[in-house]
Amino acid sequence: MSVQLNLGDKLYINDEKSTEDLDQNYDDDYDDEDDQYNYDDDHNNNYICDSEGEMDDDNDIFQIDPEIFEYEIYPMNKIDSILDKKCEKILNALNLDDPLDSLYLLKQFNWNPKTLLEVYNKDKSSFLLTYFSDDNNNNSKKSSSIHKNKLVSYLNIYSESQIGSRIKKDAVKCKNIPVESYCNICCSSRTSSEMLSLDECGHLFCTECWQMHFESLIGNSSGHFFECMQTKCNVVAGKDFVLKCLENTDSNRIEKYKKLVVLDLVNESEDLQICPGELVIKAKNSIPSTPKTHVSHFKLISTVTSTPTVSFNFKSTSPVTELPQETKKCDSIVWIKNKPSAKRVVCTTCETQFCFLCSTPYHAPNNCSTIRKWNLKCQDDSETRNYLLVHTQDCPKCKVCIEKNGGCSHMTCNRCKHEFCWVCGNDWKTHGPTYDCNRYKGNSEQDTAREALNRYTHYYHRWINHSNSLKFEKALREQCQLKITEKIMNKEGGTLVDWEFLTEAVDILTKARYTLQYTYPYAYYLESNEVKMLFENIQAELEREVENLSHSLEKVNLNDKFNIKIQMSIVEKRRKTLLKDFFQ
Amino acid sequence: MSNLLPTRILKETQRLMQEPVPGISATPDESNAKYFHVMILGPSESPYEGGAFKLELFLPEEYPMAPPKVRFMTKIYHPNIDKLGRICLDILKDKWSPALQIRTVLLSIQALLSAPNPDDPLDNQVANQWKVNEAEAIKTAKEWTKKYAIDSN
Repeated sequence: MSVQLNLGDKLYINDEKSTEDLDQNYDDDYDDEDDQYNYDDDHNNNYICDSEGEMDDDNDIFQIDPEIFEYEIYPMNKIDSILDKKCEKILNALNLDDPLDSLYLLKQFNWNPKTLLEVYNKDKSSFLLTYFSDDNNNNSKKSSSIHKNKLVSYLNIYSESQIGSRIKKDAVKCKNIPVESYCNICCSSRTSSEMLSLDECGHLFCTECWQMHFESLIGNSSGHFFECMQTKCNVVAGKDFVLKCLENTDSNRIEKYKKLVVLDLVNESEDLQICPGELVIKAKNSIPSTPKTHVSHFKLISTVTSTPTVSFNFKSTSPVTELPQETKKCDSIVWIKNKPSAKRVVCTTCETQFCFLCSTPYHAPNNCSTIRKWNLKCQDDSETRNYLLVHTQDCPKCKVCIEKNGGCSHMTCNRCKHEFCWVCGNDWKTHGPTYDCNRYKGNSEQDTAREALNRYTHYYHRWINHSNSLKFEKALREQCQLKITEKIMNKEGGTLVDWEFLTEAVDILTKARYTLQYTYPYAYYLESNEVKMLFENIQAELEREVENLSHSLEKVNLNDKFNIKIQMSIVEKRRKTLLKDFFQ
Repeated sequence: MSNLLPTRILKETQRLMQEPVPGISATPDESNAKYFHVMILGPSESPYEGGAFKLELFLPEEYPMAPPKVRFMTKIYHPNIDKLGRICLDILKDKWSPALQIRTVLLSIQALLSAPNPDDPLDNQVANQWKVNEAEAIKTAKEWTKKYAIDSN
């Protein structure tokens, strides 16, 4: 028995440990267990054989966990340190001195040092030739101050960055301005100190007009590079020039501009993303939730013993108070360590869970375009579709869609005057004096449109069903905690540690339901072939195991711990298998 | 403060009155100095020749940081002008620069009458006709000019 428990534990703990660690543990245990298995002859043997048979597989699963995704979360105003780190990395790896070079190179590789170094390490000499040959150097980098302007624009956004301090700043100043100047925009005479121009074009305008120009652009723009005011002058003003002009602007607008700069950099960087979540600033008229005392007691303990942090948290386990809350955008920056892909990110600031690539809710096993299609489809039709299903039918003769808004079942089509029965769809004449539409007759003539609708409904129903179940999972989690406390208080046995597996089980269940929900759009867009059959088999298995676990959790006692742990590991394994095979 | 007209608009108005652009007149409304009654004569050798086209021009609060709003009041058959008289012209939208003026905007509109651009249409039907059968389109434009921009004045 102890061995089996061990197995359950291991499987779960694996989630939190790094993969290397785990392989070692696993191998060690595996050897020990192997001997003992032969003597083990209890009723759960089947399960164990199953898991034993898949042992190699398991190792694979953990090595290439389809969901593993490494990232760090930074507040927006720490963007400078992110860029610092990237530049340092490049400067050290390539042994460069000029920080501007690192900026220039990073920009060429979508600000991703990883891809840059990959290319560099593949063929160092040709890399250097491509990016540092004299031609390139002179033409496209150093001599082009416009280019430099754009690069330097990303430095020192919120604070003086290390790289920023190493780059010589070109002071914003203009030479040879006549003492008596005239600004063509506001048509006023100005002194030379009131006039400013961009170095690259020299078009002189007064600071006030520059300020108004930029303020107006900040209000309407989606980027931070603003052009010179002169007609047909495409010279771009960098961040430092704009900020100098905005000295007298209110701080909100300056913050907005800085955010535009960050967003531009994040958009250009393939390894950065902005968290789409929202943070509650303060709840309006919030009534303090009054959980029963033992609930809070439990929570107190739980923070001490700390349940394993499966990266899947809920915003709150306390009773949800549905009050209007004042929120602001979270805007944290996600910096990934892997290749950019449609993987799950959980923001540590606001706990929002989203796809790194498209910033919508995490949607494995679907790719971003599939889920976009699906969501659009649901938005477009779901309400209409529900209404159609409940209130309409197609005329059996001319197929026009008929809405029944009252009255009896004797229908007369407005268009073709066909008379039919609403209930069975047959010609009214055949009804005669005897009412026989209670008999089921298969639909011989299925309208293709309705068939398509039926197909969609099939998937949509299951999708929505899991989504609804997920809402109950929150309640289940609360119940679970209540139950644990009760059991401990009633001296039914066990300590908090003994019961902790229940919370873990709910975590596993929630994760699995979430994945299941997203398997339906995936299946909807799969072509009908063997792949789809395989997918639906695996999906069915996962679904069955989820329901099993869900059922077992409803009435649980301490003796079930082992069974539930086994079920938990099976559910999680099935989920990972599905993702491993179908989530690219 | 907001009633005080910016120097820029005063100067522009003065110059429009003192040195009018040939073929263009722009007069500020008596009650609103930011609203201009505009008349543009159809350029010679264009289908609009001989016509006098009325427009309205309004300077928004943000002017000159934001472009003026201009609209044809006279019906005109042109691929870049729609039924409501709205004009598809880059400098009135994203290519606006604060250094442009009422004068330059009106000159650009006058130029647009000389050189319709059916590849960047506002009215698809008109633009299509212009591409498929230019002679027919020009004929229609001339008829419209006669009907709306000459006779009714």
